Amino acid sequence: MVNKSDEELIVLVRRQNTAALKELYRRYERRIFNFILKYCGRRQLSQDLLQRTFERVWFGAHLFAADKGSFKGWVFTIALNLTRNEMSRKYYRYHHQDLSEVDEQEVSFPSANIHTPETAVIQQERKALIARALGLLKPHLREIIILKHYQQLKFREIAEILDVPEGTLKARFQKAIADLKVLLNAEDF
Amino acid sequence: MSHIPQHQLIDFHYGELNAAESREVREHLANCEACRADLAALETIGKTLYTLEDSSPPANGFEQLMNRIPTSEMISAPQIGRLQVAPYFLLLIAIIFSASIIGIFHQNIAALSYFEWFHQFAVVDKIGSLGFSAILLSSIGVLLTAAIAPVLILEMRQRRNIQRL
Ligand SMILES: [Zn+2]
Repeated sequence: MVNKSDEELIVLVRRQNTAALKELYRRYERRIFNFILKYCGRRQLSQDLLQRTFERVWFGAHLFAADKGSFKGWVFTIALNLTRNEMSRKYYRYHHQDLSEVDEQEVSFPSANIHTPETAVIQQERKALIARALGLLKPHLREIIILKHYQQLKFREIAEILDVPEGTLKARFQKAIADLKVLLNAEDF
Repeated sequence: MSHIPQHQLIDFHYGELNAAESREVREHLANCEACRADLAALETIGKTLYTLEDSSPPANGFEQLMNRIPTSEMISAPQIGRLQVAPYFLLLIAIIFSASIIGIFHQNIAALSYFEWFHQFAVVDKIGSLGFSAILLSSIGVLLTAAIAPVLILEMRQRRNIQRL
């Protein structure tokens, strides 16, 4: 299984091969999890959405068309759509990424405790501020920052996932960077 | 001298330019302080963003996933639903259709010349033209079903998967 390409594995998943699903899960679990986590800032929700993404990979394996793109693009598209749907719900719109209100267990980084050395505390605060700035970005800009900067995807790959022309994508990325500069300066960086 | 457009600087920063384009940008940067400052700003924001590292996904994630996904035995178990019923509905229509054919045409079958040949077997006399027609048509039905069974099974499985999505 380890030697097989993603596209070979998804063909096996189509035939209900769980070993192939396990290998795809191993390859993408960390990337998809962190993509969702940076998008929504909630650990518990990210775990759930990661599972739902792979549930769709399993039941929708026959819907994957190799001639229309890579498995990587497809699995990110599924994760993105699930996360967008979830975040468009009323609750998240009004409580969006307000980390101060979120339970400690829920946030994407461990909270600082009194025994942590001072530098670590500062580091945690910096992380909290960045997570907050990301959360304040408009969703259509945030998803590009995460896919480009954190997931290191090519603009061509992101264009495929978001179904947006590459030129539009680059313009949005510039806007996102400009907004982040403002947000991070406002957060005293 | 015109400056490097922001989108090209971004492509340069993320290594998306080809060798010739990269060289051009590097040459410009060597002589232009303004563009160097733009690139430095991009690098700074990049480093700042990286402060937020990746987290580890939950342990036993795959096991949790398998608990949500039924195994193949469960998938092949019969389920009642609008889509699942469709093939059985087709089967019912086929049975009614065959019965009607037998009802209407069994006398004609009895009149066919080859039917005479079957009279050498005592059983044909016992079951009569009605029984003979039934056996004949159901044999054809079984053969046809056996021939298209793989297609039907695949179809039913896919319908079930789509419905679960
Ligand atoms: Zn310049």
